[in-house]
Amino acid sequence: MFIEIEADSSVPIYLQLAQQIIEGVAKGELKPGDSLPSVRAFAADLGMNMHTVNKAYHFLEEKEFIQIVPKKGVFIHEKSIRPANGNDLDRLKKELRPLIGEALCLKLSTEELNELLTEIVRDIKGGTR
Amino acid sequence: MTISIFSALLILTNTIQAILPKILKSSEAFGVFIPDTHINDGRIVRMKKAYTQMLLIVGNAIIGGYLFWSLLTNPMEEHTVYVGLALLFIVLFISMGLYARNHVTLIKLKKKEHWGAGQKERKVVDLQFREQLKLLPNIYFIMPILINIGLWIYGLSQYDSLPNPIPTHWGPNGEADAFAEKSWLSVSALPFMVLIIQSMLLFFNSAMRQSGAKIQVRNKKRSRQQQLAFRKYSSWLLFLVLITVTMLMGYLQLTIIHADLMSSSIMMFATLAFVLIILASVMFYTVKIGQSGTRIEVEHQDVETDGVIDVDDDRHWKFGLIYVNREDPSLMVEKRFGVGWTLNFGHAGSWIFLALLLGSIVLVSLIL
Repeated sequence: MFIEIEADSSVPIYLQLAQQIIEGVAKGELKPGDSLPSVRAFAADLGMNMHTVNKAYHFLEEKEFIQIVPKKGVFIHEKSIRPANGNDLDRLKKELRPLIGEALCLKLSTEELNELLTEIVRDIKGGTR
Repeated sequence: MTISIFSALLILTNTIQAILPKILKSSEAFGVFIPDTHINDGRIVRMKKAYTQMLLIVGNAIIGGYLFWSLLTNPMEEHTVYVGLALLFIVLFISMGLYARNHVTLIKLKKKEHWGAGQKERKVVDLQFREQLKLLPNIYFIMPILINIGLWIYGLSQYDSLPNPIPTHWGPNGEADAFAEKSWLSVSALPFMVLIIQSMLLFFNSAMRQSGAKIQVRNKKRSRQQQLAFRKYSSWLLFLVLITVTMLMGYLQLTIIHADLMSSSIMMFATLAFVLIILASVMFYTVKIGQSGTRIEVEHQDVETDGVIDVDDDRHWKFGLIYVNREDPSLMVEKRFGVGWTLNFGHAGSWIFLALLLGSIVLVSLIL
């Protein structure tokens, strides 16, 4: 799976990395147990500091999307596709909130928001090969 | 003999320098990053053509003159060597001069016309690149090293029966033409030198594994396949050099211990085979694989993409030749102008490697 990073985007690079890996899991391009490049190899491919990759990996590890096994490597978490538990739901709610707020300022109705949501879901799943 | 060796060397050097633009990535011309929007720019195409023609004409004229001079005046062997070496430097100097002129012109042009403006710069990573990378495992490189160390120990164990003085340098016919007084150190010199070369090759193979892949945003599949192939063949080339060096030098080591093993004809044949094998593989690597695998045909065609270009990393390349990037953990990267690999001089490891290499060479010259 290819990951594409925009250096002069407003989204920090570590977040771009993490988000694209999560989307890869959602699409099924990355399956539980698949291995990811080592921090050093990933940073070399990016031509960027290892710190950036580390930050992305820790971000993903915290959310239980990847598993870092010392001396073995980095893998997509066995439980990366899972029914959301209370913690997951709380986190999603918190992260969605500012975006919904922004949408309300822009006068989007609940129906329009629903439509937007359906469209994004279709777009992500449509990417499945 | 000397004249034909030097002429061959001159032709090879000059031709490789001249055809370089044809075997390099189109996204880099004369050490300058060229965005996808300009890779077919007529001015760059003409520049490359003019460079190739100029070098072929001037280079071959020089080589012709060299041959003519040696036939006409029948110079002493020594003079043939000196003039040949001087011409080799002149040929390289001319190509570097032309390179520098084109490099500066392109940098100015790119800046003036804002190439790549309005395009989004993107860096692409293939998450499975390392899994698909098929380099020879390091154990293949360690085996010959163990053989060399074995011969080293064997030589030391036979210390008393070794000749004094001990040969340290051989002509192409295998006859020793330089000697040193026998001591533990001078007996170790040959295997130690071999060990330096072997470790260097092992180092390159390991560094290549960690080297960052440069996937092009508009040709993801093509560039991935070409790089995988380029790295695989680079690894094979290293291994071939390792095997041939180990065999040739191992044979020499054995002839020091058992003088009756020495045979002029075997040695001549082995040296010739060594030179031919290495030459043929380098030619194959250069012409059939090309820098970064550019000469390899790829079945997968990429979907045309617009609005995106690769990241301009000119700032990490001094004069387009020397790579310095402190952030990049790669020890080795693919050359921009040339065939093969170069070190990342922003990485402490590269300096440690160079210091070790230089230190061991100095050590050997002090022993002998």
